[in-house]
Amino acid sequence: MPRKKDIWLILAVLLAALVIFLLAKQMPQKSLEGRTADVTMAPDAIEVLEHTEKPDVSALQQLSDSQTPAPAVTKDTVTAEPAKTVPAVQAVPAATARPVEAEDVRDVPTVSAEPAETTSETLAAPTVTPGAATAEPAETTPEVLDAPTVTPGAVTAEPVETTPEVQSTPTVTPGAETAEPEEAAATATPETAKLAAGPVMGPVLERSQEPVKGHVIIMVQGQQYGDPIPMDMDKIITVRQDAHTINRIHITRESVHMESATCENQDCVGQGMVTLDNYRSRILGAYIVCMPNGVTVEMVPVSEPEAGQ
Amino acid sequence: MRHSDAKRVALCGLLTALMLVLGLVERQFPLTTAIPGIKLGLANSVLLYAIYMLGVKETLILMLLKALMSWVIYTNLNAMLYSLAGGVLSVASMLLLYRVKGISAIGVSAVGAVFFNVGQIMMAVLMLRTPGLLFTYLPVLMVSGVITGVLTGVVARMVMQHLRVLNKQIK
Repeated sequence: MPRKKDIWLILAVLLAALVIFLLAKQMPQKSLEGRTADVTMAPDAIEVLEHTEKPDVSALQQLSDSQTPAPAVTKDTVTAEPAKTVPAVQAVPAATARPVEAEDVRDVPTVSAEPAETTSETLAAPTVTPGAATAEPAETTPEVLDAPTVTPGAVTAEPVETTPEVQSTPTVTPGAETAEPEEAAATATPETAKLAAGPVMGPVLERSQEPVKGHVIIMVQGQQYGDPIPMDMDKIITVRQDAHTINRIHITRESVHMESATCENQDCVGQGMVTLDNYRSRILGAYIVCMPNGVTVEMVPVSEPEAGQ
Repeated sequence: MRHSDAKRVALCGLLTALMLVLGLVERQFPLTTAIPGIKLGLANSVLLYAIYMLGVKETLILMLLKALMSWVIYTNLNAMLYSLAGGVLSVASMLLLYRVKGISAIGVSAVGAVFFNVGQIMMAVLMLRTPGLLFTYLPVLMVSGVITGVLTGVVARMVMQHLRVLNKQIK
């Protein structure tokens, strides 16, 4: 049986472990500074699982072009960029009701945009910050009545705020503001409103407007694989070292996990997810390690003040 | 004398094979997949046996052989480097401690297991260049090393008690 000195020895080791553990807790939050790529990512490394989440202006344009007339108007308003001279744009100013007065965009139940349109809108408003949505129901409604298609414009009002160009567009017409809310309410049933406004303003805003919550750094055999990857959408990064050494890393907006790996022990897959919630308490912290393949995945959350913005 | 040498060589070969087999068996029953690098480390008890019953030189040879053979078997250079780094630190610490009076095989084994883990993680951090890993991971591995080390130490002690006969014949 263990003797006294054995016990002391073991206690000393455990104490050392505790000290290191506490030291690790004290370590300053990591930043992305200087974390640039050592190895460029393979062109086919990123596989996007959900296309709609990442706002892309060009994609938006295409979408809007392909849309039916009514929606088309909306896109114009949505895009609200000066460049767009489509007649529909006239609606935009009204739609872009002043941010100041407007309350949360999500409160705009009156928007009668069709679901189909909304998807395009979501794409259209990439930069919109949630708070930005300032259009009041009352304001938007008048337009809706006049030109049903315009309503989306109201939705897009947020972009106006966020994107400089949009702001430059001649904005709010006073009349618009005075419009009666009741009418709007009448025109749009809650459901439709949700459909229309939901994707455009609610969830979408949250999705596309919220700043990225973290980045993922992939190290392969001691070399950083590509620049830090923003956790902006659902995607899979494939790290292919050779035909038999492949790691697939699944990144979502909230989490990272090893989707699959070719190593024999599958430890990395078993290590589960690193999420924004669990990386502090997780045993491996923000890391996923595949020792046989020499791949480590680290999630670097955006530091608190930034994230709060 | 020669007869005894041959016996020692044979025993070393036997122990090497034993370590590799134990390693293989362990792989079939991973303690946990949530944390890499945590295993029972039964090979550690073989090394412990070598330290107490064979001597320093044999122990080092066994350790090197194990690392080398694991490369051959698993065809993974990384695995060998981890094993080597861990093995060197582990054997060094055990050799330092085993002569200290009042420390039994259990204490030596625990420290050896801890240092095996320390060596492994240091090698991993060096190779993967993720220093942050060191601090988050090390405490976990140290605690797990103590637990598995005590277990393998107990095993080694029991084995040694029953193998003293064999040992007498060798020496």
